[in-house]
Amino acid sequence: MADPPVTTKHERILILEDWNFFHIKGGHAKEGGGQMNFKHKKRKKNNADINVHGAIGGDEKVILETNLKTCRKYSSETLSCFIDRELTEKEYSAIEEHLATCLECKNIINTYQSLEGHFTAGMTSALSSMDTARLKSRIMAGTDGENLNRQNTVKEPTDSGFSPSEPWKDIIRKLLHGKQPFFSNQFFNTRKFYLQLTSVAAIILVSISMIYLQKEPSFSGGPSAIITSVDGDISSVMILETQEEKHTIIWYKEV
Amino acid sequence: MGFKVVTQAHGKTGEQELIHQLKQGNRQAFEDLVDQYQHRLLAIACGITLDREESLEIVQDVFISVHRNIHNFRGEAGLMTWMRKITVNMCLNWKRKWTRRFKWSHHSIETDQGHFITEVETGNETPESSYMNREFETLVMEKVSLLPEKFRSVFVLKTLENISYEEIGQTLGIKTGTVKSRLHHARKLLAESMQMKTKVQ
Repeated sequence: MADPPVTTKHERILILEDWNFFHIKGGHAKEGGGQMNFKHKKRKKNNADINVHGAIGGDEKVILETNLKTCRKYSSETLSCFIDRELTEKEYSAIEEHLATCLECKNIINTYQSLEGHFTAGMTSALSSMDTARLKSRIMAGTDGENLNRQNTVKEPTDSGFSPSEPWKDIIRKLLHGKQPFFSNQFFNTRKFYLQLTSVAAIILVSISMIYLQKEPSFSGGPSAIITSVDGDISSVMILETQEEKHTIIWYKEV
Repeated sequence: MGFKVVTQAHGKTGEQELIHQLKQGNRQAFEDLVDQYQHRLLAIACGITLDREESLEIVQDVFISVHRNIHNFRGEAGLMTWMRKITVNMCLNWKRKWTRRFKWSHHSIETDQGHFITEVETGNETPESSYMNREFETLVMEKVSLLPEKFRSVFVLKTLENISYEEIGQTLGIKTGTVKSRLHHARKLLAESMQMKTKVQ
Protein backbone atom coordinates (compact mmCIF):
# COMPACT_ATOMS: atom_id res chain seq x y z
CA MET A 1 0.00 0.00 0.00
CA ALA A 2 1.44 3.37 -1.00
CA ASP A 3 2.11 5.86 1.75
CA PRO A 4 -0.56 8.54 1.81
CA PRO A 5 0.54 12.17 1.58
CA VAL A 6 0.93 13.83 4.95
CA THR A 7 -0.79 17.07 5.70
CA THR A 8 1.50 19.73 7.03
CA LYS A 9 -1.13 22.14 8.10
CA HIS A 10 -2.37 20.59 11.31
CA GLU A 11 -1.90 17.38 13.19
CA ARG A 12 -5.02 15.46 13.79
CA ILE A 13 -5.80 12.27 15.61
CA LEU A 14 -8.98 10.86 14.23
CA ILE A 15 -9.94 7.34 15.02
CA LEU A 16 -11.48 5.66 12.04
CA GLU A 17 -10.95 2.63 9.96
CA ASP A 18 -7.84 2.02 7.96
CA TRP A 19 -6.36 4.51 5.55
CA ASN A 20 -8.87 7.08 4.49
CA PHE A 21 -8.85 10.53 3.06
CA PHE A 22 -11.41 12.93 4.40
CA HIS A 23 -12.40 16.14 2.80
CA ILE A 24 -13.75 18.13 5.71
CA LYS A 25 -16.32 20.71 4.84
CA GLY A 26 -17.55 23.32 7.20
CA GLY A 27 -18.19 22.46 10.79
CA HIS A 28 -16.26 23.61 13.78
CA ALA A 29 -14.65 21.51 16.39
CA LYS A 30 -13.61 22.82 19.76
CA GLU A 31 -10.22 21.86 20.96
CA GLY A 32 -10.28 18.69 22.95
CA GLY A 33 -13.31 17.14 21.33
CA GLY A 34 -16.59 17.75 19.66
CA GLN A 35 -18.75 16.65 16.85
CA MET A 36 -18.50 17.64 13.25
CA ASN A 37 -19.64 16.64 9.81
CA PHE A 38 -17.21 15.30 7.33
CA LYS A 39 -17.25 13.66 3.97
CA HIS A 40 -16.08 10.10 3.61
CA LYS A 41 -14.98 8.70 0.33
CA LYS A 42 -16.92 5.54 1.00
CA ARG A 43 -19.96 7.09 2.58
CA LYS A 44 -21.74 10.27 1.69
CA LYS A 45 -21.79 11.89 5.01
CA ASN A 46 -20.88 10.89 8.47
CA ASN A 47 -20.91 12.24 11.98
CA ALA A 48 -18.49 11.20 14.61
CA ASP A 49 -17.24 12.14 18.00
CA ILE A 50 -13.60 12.87 17.56
CA ASN A 51 -10.62 14.12 19.46
CA VAL A 52 -9.06 17.12 17.82
CA HIS A 53 -6.13 19.30 18.53
CA GLY A 54 -6.85 22.80 17.39
CA ALA A 55 -9.91 24.07 15.58
CA ILE A 56 -10.91 22.81 12.19
CA GLY A 57 -12.70 24.97 9.69
CA GLY A 58 -13.14 25.23 5.98
CA ASP A 59 -11.81 22.59 3.63
CA GLU A 60 -8.96 20.58 5.02
CA LYS A 61 -7.55 17.25 4.10
CA VAL A 62 -6.74 15.06 7.00
CA ILE A 63 -4.88 11.79 7.11
CA LEU A 64 -6.37 9.14 9.29
CA GLU A 65 -4.10 6.53 10.66
CA THR A 66 -4.71 3.56 12.83
CA ASN A 67 -2.18 1.23 14.32
CA LEU A 68 -4.63 -1.57 14.63
CA LYS A 69 -5.76 -2.95 11.30
CA THR A 70 -7.59 -6.13 10.57
CA CYS A 71 -6.70 -8.35 7.66
CA ARG A 72 -9.95 -7.13 6.01
CA LYS A 73 -11.57 -10.52 6.17
CA TYR A 74 -13.24 -9.55 9.45
CA SER A 75 -13.98 -6.09 10.73
CA SER A 76 -12.77 -4.99 14.16
CA GLU A 77 -16.40 -4.80 15.22
CA THR A 78 -16.88 -8.46 14.39
CA LEU A 79 -13.77 -9.29 16.37
CA SER A 80 -15.18 -7.25 19.24
CA CYS A 81 -18.31 -9.43 19.12
CA PHE A 82 -16.09 -12.50 18.98
CA ILE A 83 -14.51 -11.55 22.31
CA ASP A 84 -17.97 -11.28 23.84
CA ARG A 85 -19.28 -14.47 22.19
CA GLU A 86 -22.07 -12.50 20.60
CA LEU A 87 -21.84 -14.43 17.34
CA THR A 88 -23.46 -17.59 16.10
CA GLU A 89 -21.60 -20.81 16.76
CA LYS A 90 -20.73 -21.09 13.10
CA GLU A 91 -19.31 -17.54 12.94
CA TYR A 92 -17.42 -18.09 16.18
CA SER A 93 -15.77 -21.28 14.91
CA ALA A 94 -14.81 -19.67 11.62
CA ILE A 95 -13.08 -16.75 13.35
CA GLU A 96 -11.42 -19.04 15.83
CA GLU A 97 -9.92 -20.97 12.95
CA HIS A 98 -8.91 -17.72 11.23
CA LEU A 99 -7.11 -16.44 14.32
CA ALA A 100 -4.79 -19.41 14.25
CA THR A 101 -3.08 -17.94 11.19
CA CYS A 102 -3.88 -14.22 11.18
CA LEU A 103 -1.55 -12.12 13.32
CA GLU A 104 -3.33 -8.84 12.63
CA CYS A 105 -6.69 -10.04 13.88
CA LYS A 106 -5.04 -11.80 16.79
CA ASN A 107 -3.35 -8.52 17.69
CA ILE A 108 -6.68 -6.75 17.88
CA ILE A 109 -8.21 -9.45 20.07
CA ASN A 110 -5.23 -9.38 22.43
CA THR A 111 -5.26 -5.60 22.57
CA TYR A 112 -8.94 -5.32 23.44
CA GLN A 113 -8.71 -8.05 26.06
CA SER A 114 -5.60 -6.55 27.57
CA LEU A 115 -7.27 -3.16 27.94
CA GLU A 116 -10.18 -4.69 29.79
CA GLY A 117 -7.90 -6.67 32.04
CA HIS A 118 -5.99 -3.55 33.01
CA PHE A 119 -9.17 -1.59 33.56
CA THR A 120 -10.56 -4.27 35.87
CA ALA A 121 -7.29 -4.40 37.80
CA GLY A 122 -7.16 -0.61 37.97
CA MET A 123 -10.72 -0.42 39.24
CA THR A 124 -9.96 -3.04 41.90
CA SER A 125 -7.03 -0.94 43.09
CA ALA A 126 -9.09 2.23 43.09
CA LEU A 127 -11.92 0.64 45.07
CA SER A 128 -9.55 -0.78 47.65
CA SER A 129 -8.86 2.76 48.84
CA MET A 130 -12.53 3.56 49.33
CA ASP A 131 -14.13 3.24 52.73
CA THR A 132 -16.72 0.58 52.06
CA ALA A 133 -17.06 -0.19 55.77
CA ARG A 134 -18.30 3.34 56.33
CA LEU A 135 -20.57 3.05 53.33
CA LYS A 136 -22.14 -0.04 54.83
CA SER A 137 -22.61 1.75 58.16
CA ARG A 138 -24.37 4.61 56.41
CA ILE A 139 -26.60 2.21 54.51
CA MET A 140 -27.58 0.32 57.66
CA ALA A 141 -28.15 3.56 59.56
CA GLY A 142 -30.20 4.95 56.69
CA THR A 143 -32.49 1.97 56.76
CA ASP A 144 -32.74 1.58 60.50
CA GLY A 145 -36.31 1.75 61.79
CA GLU A 146 -37.84 1.48 58.33
CA ASN A 147 -40.31 -1.27 57.83
CA LEU A 148 -39.37 -3.60 54.98
CA ASN A 149 -42.80 -5.16 54.70
CA ARG A 150 -45.11 -2.44 53.52
CA GLN A 151 -47.77 -4.83 52.33
CA ASN A 152 -49.13 -4.93 55.86
CA THR A 153 -51.86 -2.31 55.81
CA VAL A 154 -52.75 -2.73 59.48
CA LYS A 155 -50.82 -0.54 61.83
CA GLU A 156 -48.18 -2.60 63.49
CA PRO A 157 -48.18 -2.84 67.23
CA THR A 158 -45.16 -1.02 68.54
CA ASP A 159 -43.12 -1.54 71.64
CA SER A 160 -44.99 1.29 73.31
CA GLY A 161 -48.25 -0.56 72.89
CA PHE A 162 -50.09 1.90 70.73
CA SER A 163 -53.37 0.56 69.50
CA PRO A 164 -55.14 1.52 66.26
CA SER A 165 -57.93 3.14 68.25
CA GLU A 166 -55.56 5.86 69.45
CA PRO A 167 -53.89 7.11 66.29
CA TRP A 168 -52.90 10.40 67.90
CA LYS A 169 -50.31 8.56 69.98
CA ASP A 170 -48.83 7.16 66.80
CA ILE A 171 -48.46 10.68 65.48
CA ILE A 172 -46.56 11.71 68.61
CA ARG A 173 -44.32 8.69 68.25
CA LYS A 174 -43.45 9.56 64.68
CA LEU A 175 -42.76 13.15 65.59
CA LEU A 176 -40.45 12.13 68.40
CA HIS A 177 -38.42 9.89 66.14
CA GLY A 178 -38.21 12.65 63.57
CA LYS A 179 -36.76 10.42 60.82
CA GLN A 180 -38.73 11.90 57.97
CA PRO A 181 -38.79 15.68 57.85
CA PHE A 182 -42.15 16.74 56.58
CA PHE A 183 -41.14 20.23 55.57
CA SER A 184 -38.57 20.87 52.93
CA ASN A 185 -37.65 24.20 54.51
CA GLN A 186 -34.33 23.80 56.28
CA PHE A 187 -35.57 25.71 59.31
CA PHE A 188 -38.21 23.12 60.06
CA ASN A 189 -35.82 20.24 59.85
CA THR A 190 -34.13 20.95 63.12
CA ARG A 191 -34.65 18.58 65.99
CA LYS A 192 -35.45 21.47 68.25
CA PHE A 193 -38.46 22.16 66.13
CA TYR A 194 -39.64 18.57 66.53
CA LEU A 195 -39.34 18.83 70.28
CA GLN A 196 -41.34 22.04 70.42
CA LEU A 197 -43.97 20.78 68.00
CA THR A 198 -44.36 17.57 69.94
CA SER A 199 -44.99 19.37 73.19
CA VAL A 200 -47.46 21.77 71.57
CA ALA A 201 -49.28 18.91 69.90
CA ALA A 202 -49.52 17.00 73.15
CA ILE A 203 -50.91 20.00 75.00
CA ILE A 204 -53.47 20.65 72.28
CA LEU A 205 -54.61 17.05 72.26
CA VAL A 206 -54.99 16.93 76.00
CA SER A 207 -56.91 20.19 76.02
CA ILE A 208 -59.26 18.95 73.33
CA SER A 209 -59.88 15.73 75.19
CA MET A 210 -60.60 17.66 78.39
CA ILE A 211 -63.04 19.99 76.67
CA TYR A 212 -64.72 17.06 75.00
CA LEU A 213 -65.12 15.25 78.27
CA GLN A 214 -66.28 18.48 79.99
CA LYS A 215 -64.05 17.92 82.91
CA GLU A 216 -62.48 20.73 84.89
CA PRO A 217 -58.82 20.45 85.09
CA SER A 218 -58.14 19.49 88.63
CA PHE A 219 -55.60 17.22 90.00
CA SER A 220 -56.18 14.73 92.68
CA GLY A 221 -53.66 13.00 94.72
CA GLY A 222 -53.23 9.32 94.53
CA PRO A 223 -51.24 7.00 92.39
CA SER A 224 -51.22 7.32 88.62
CA ALA A 225 -51.04 4.56 86.07
CA ILE A 226 -48.69 4.77 83.16
CA ILE A 227 -50.78 4.34 80.06
CA THR A 228 -47.93 4.39 77.67
CA SER A 229 -44.48 5.77 77.11
CA VAL A 230 -42.52 6.51 74.02
CA ASP A 231 -38.78 6.94 73.70
CA GLY A 232 -37.58 9.01 70.79
CA ASP A 233 -34.17 10.07 69.57
CA ILE A 234 -34.30 13.44 71.21
CA SER A 235 -36.95 13.12 73.92
CA SER A 236 -39.19 10.74 75.78
CA VAL A 237 -42.87 11.08 76.52
CA MET A 238 -44.80 9.36 79.23
CA ILE A 239 -48.57 9.49 79.36
CA LEU A 240 -50.10 8.85 82.73
CA GLU A 241 -53.66 8.70 83.96
CA THR A 242 -54.86 9.33 87.48
CA GLN A 243 -56.70 6.45 89.01
CA GLU A 244 -59.92 8.03 90.14
CA GLU A 245 -60.43 11.16 88.11
CA LYS A 246 -58.87 9.71 84.99
CA HIS A 247 -56.92 12.84 84.28
CA THR A 248 -54.31 12.48 81.61
CA ILE A 249 -50.85 13.75 82.39
CA ILE A 250 -48.27 14.08 79.72
CA TRP A 251 -44.71 14.17 80.88
CA TYR A 252 -41.81 14.54 78.58
CA LYS A 253 -38.13 14.68 79.01
CA GLU A 254 -35.38 15.70 76.68
CA VAL A 255 -32.82 12.93 76.31
CA MET B 1 -12.92 -11.40 33.79
CA GLY B 2 -15.13 -9.01 35.61
CA PHE B 3 -16.07 -8.28 39.16
CA LYS B 4 -18.30 -11.32 39.43
CA VAL B 5 -15.35 -13.29 40.78
CA VAL B 6 -15.31 -10.92 43.73
CA THR B 7 -18.83 -11.79 44.72
CA GLN B 8 -19.47 -15.31 45.86
CA ALA B 9 -21.80 -17.18 43.56
CA HIS B 10 -25.34 -17.12 44.84
CA GLY B 11 -27.32 -20.04 43.55
CA LYS B 12 -30.85 -19.51 42.40
CA THR B 13 -32.22 -21.20 45.49
CA GLY B 14 -29.97 -19.09 47.70
CA GLU B 15 -31.12 -15.87 46.06
CA GLN B 16 -34.76 -16.81 46.31
CA GLU B 17 -34.30 -17.47 49.99
CA LEU B 18 -32.52 -14.14 50.40
CA ILE B 19 -35.37 -12.33 48.65
CA HIS B 20 -37.87 -14.10 50.86
CA GLN B 21 -35.96 -13.09 53.99
CA LEU B 22 -35.67 -9.51 52.77
CA LYS B 23 -39.43 -9.33 52.24
CA GLN B 24 -39.90 -10.67 55.75
CA GLY B 25 -37.91 -7.74 57.04
CA ASN B 26 -34.90 -9.79 58.09
CA ARG B 27 -32.24 -7.25 59.03
CA GLN B 28 -29.40 -9.76 58.80
CA ALA B 29 -30.50 -10.67 55.28
CA PHE B 30 -30.30 -7.03 54.28
CA GLU B 31 -26.84 -6.76 55.77
CA ASP B 32 -25.79 -9.83 53.79
CA LEU B 33 -27.17 -8.20 50.66
CA VAL B 34 -25.03 -5.11 51.27
CA ASP B 35 -21.93 -7.23 51.92
CA GLN B 36 -22.43 -9.22 48.74
CA TYR B 37 -23.17 -6.48 46.27
CA GLN B 38 -21.87 -3.12 47.42
CA HIS B 39 -18.46 -3.56 45.77
CA ARG B 40 -19.91 -4.43 42.41
CA LEU B 41 -22.37 -1.57 42.47
CA LEU B 42 -19.65 0.80 43.62
CA ALA B 43 -17.42 -0.27 40.74
CA ILE B 44 -20.19 0.40 38.24
CA ALA B 45 -20.97 3.78 39.77
CA CYS B 46 -17.31 4.80 39.83
CA GLY B 47 -16.81 3.72 36.26
CA ILE B 48 -19.73 5.75 34.99
CA THR B 49 -19.64 8.86 37.18
CA LEU B 50 -15.87 8.99 37.72
CA ASP B 51 -16.63 10.64 41.03
CA ARG B 52 -15.66 8.88 44.24
CA GLU B 53 -17.95 10.72 46.62
CA GLU B 54 -20.90 10.69 44.27
CA SER B 55 -20.48 6.96 43.72
CA LEU B 56 -20.61 6.30 47.45
CA GLU B 57 -23.79 8.35 47.75
CA ILE B 58 -25.38 6.67 44.76
CA VAL B 59 -24.71 3.19 46.11
CA GLN B 60 -26.09 4.24 49.49
CA ASP B 61 -29.24 5.52 47.79
CA VAL B 62 -29.52 2.32 45.77
CA PHE B 63 -29.57 0.12 48.85
CA ILE B 64 -32.03 2.42 50.61
CA SER B 65 -34.25 2.25 47.54
CA VAL B 66 -33.98 -1.53 47.50
CA HIS B 67 -34.83 -1.61 51.20
CA ARG B 68 -37.97 0.41 50.64
CA ASN B 69 -39.16 -1.32 47.49
CA ILE B 70 -38.25 -4.96 48.02
CA HIS B 71 -41.91 -5.76 48.55
CA ASN B 72 -42.52 -4.72 44.93
CA PHE B 73 -39.73 -6.91 43.57
CA ARG B 74 -41.25 -9.77 41.64
CA GLY B 75 -38.00 -11.65 41.05
CA GLU B 76 -38.44 -12.14 37.31
CA ALA B 77 -34.91 -10.90 36.82
CA GLY B 78 -32.21 -11.40 39.42
CA LEU B 79 -31.51 -9.13 42.37
CA MET B 80 -28.27 -7.90 40.85
CA THR B 81 -29.98 -7.15 37.54
CA TRP B 82 -32.50 -5.02 39.38
CA MET B 83 -29.94 -3.23 41.52
CA ARG B 84 -27.65 -2.72 38.56
CA LYS B 85 -30.41 -0.97 36.67
CA ILE B 86 -31.19 1.30 39.62
CA THR B 87 -27.49 2.11 39.96
CA VAL B 88 -27.01 2.89 36.29
CA ASN B 89 -30.14 5.08 36.20
CA MET B 90 -28.92 7.07 39.18
CA CYS B 91 -25.49 7.46 37.61
CA LEU B 92 -26.85 8.63 34.30
CA ASN B 93 -29.19 11.07 36.04
CA TRP B 94 -26.35 12.53 37.99
CA LYS B 95 -26.77 16.22 37.36
CA ARG B 96 -23.48 17.52 38.54
CA LYS B 97 -20.86 18.47 36.01
CA TRP B 98 -18.61 15.59 35.09
CA THR B 99 -15.14 16.14 36.46
CA ARG B 100 -12.30 13.83 36.94
CA ARG B 101 -12.14 13.78 40.71
CA PHE B 102 -11.10 10.20 40.84
CA LYS B 103 -7.57 10.28 42.18
CA TRP B 104 -5.90 8.54 39.29
CA SER B 105 -2.28 9.26 38.52
CA HIS B 106 -1.74 11.20 35.32
CA HIS B 107 1.95 10.90 34.68
CA SER B 108 3.05 9.12 31.56
CA ILE B 109 4.86 5.85 31.44
CA GLU B 110 7.45 6.64 28.83
CA THR B 111 10.65 4.72 28.86
CA ASP B 112 14.08 6.33 28.79
CA GLN B 113 14.00 6.08 25.01
CA GLY B 114 10.72 7.97 24.89
CA HIS B 115 8.57 5.05 23.80
CA PHE B 116 5.30 4.30 25.46
CA ILE B 117 5.06 1.08 27.35
CA THR B 118 3.06 -1.29 25.26
CA GLU B 119 3.93 -4.76 26.33
CA VAL B 120 2.21 -6.29 29.26
CA GLU B 121 4.03 -9.02 31.10
CA THR B 122 1.91 -11.73 32.61
CA GLY B 123 3.11 -14.17 35.20
CA ASN B 124 6.49 -14.19 36.93
CA GLU B 125 6.42 -10.42 37.34
CA THR B 126 9.60 -8.69 38.36
CA PRO B 127 9.33 -5.63 40.60
CA GLU B 128 10.02 -3.45 37.59
CA SER B 129 7.40 -5.09 35.42
CA SER B 130 4.95 -5.02 38.30
CA TYR B 131 5.51 -1.26 38.64
CA MET B 132 5.04 -0.85 34.90
CA ASN B 133 1.83 -2.80 35.00
CA ARG B 134 0.45 -0.57 37.75
CA GLU B 135 1.40 2.48 35.74
CA PHE B 136 -0.23 0.99 32.67
CA GLU B 137 -3.40 0.37 34.64
CA THR B 138 -3.40 3.99 35.70
CA LEU B 139 -3.06 5.12 32.11
CA VAL B 140 -5.89 2.87 30.98
CA MET B 141 -8.09 4.28 33.74
CA GLU B 142 -7.26 7.78 32.57
CA LYS B 143 -8.13 6.96 28.99
CA VAL B 144 -11.40 5.36 30.05
CA SER B 145 -12.28 8.53 31.92
CA LEU B 146 -11.85 10.44 28.67
CA LEU B 147 -14.39 8.33 26.82
CA PRO B 148 -17.75 10.00 26.20
CA GLU B 149 -20.28 8.79 28.75
CA LYS B 150 -22.36 6.79 26.28
CA PHE B 151 -19.33 4.72 25.29
CA ARG B 152 -17.92 4.53 28.79
CA SER B 153 -21.19 3.24 30.27
CA VAL B 154 -21.29 0.33 27.87
CA PHE B 155 -17.60 -0.41 28.31
CA VAL B 156 -17.85 -0.34 32.11
CA LEU B 157 -20.88 -2.63 32.21
CA LYS B 158 -19.35 -5.12 29.83
CA THR B 159 -15.91 -5.15 31.41
CA LEU B 160 -16.94 -5.23 35.05
CA GLU B 161 -20.14 -7.22 34.86
CA ASN B 162 -19.54 -9.36 31.76
CA ILE B 163 -23.23 -9.36 30.87
CA SER B 164 -24.70 -9.89 27.42
CA TYR B 165 -25.31 -7.12 24.92
CA GLU B 166 -29.02 -7.67 25.39
CA GLU B 167 -28.80 -7.18 29.13
CA ILE B 168 -26.61 -4.10 28.74
CA GLY B 169 -29.21 -2.74 26.33
CA GLN B 170 -32.01 -3.37 28.81
CA THR B 171 -30.05 -1.71 31.58
CA LEU B 172 -29.28 1.38 29.53
CA GLY B 173 -32.50 1.48 27.54
CA ILE B 174 -30.81 1.11 24.15
CA LYS B 175 -30.91 -1.46 21.36
CA THR B 176 -28.57 -4.43 21.22
CA GLY B 177 -27.10 -3.17 17.97
CA THR B 178 -26.31 0.14 19.63
CA VAL B 179 -24.56 -1.70 22.45
CA LYS B 180 -22.46 -3.61 19.97
CA SER B 181 -21.51 -0.48 18.11
CA ARG B 182 -20.71 1.61 21.19
CA LEU B 183 -18.67 -1.11 22.84
CA HIS B 184 -16.61 -1.61 19.73
CA HIS B 185 -16.12 2.12 19.41
CA ALA B 186 -15.03 2.38 23.04
CA ARG B 187 -12.48 -0.39 22.64
CA LYS B 188 -11.15 1.08 19.45
CA LEU B 189 -10.87 4.57 20.91
CA LEU B 190 -9.04 3.22 23.93
CA ALA B 191 -6.66 1.12 21.88
CA GLU B 192 -5.87 3.95 19.52
CA SER B 193 -5.40 6.47 22.30
CA MET B 194 -3.02 4.11 24.00
CA GLN B 195 -1.15 3.60 20.71
CA MET B 196 -0.98 0.02 21.69
CA LYS B 197 0.78 -2.86 20.07
CA THR B 198 0.81 -6.25 21.64
CA LYS B 199 2.99 -9.23 20.89
CA VAL B 200 1.30 -12.30 19.63
CA GLN B 201 2.46 -15.18 21.79
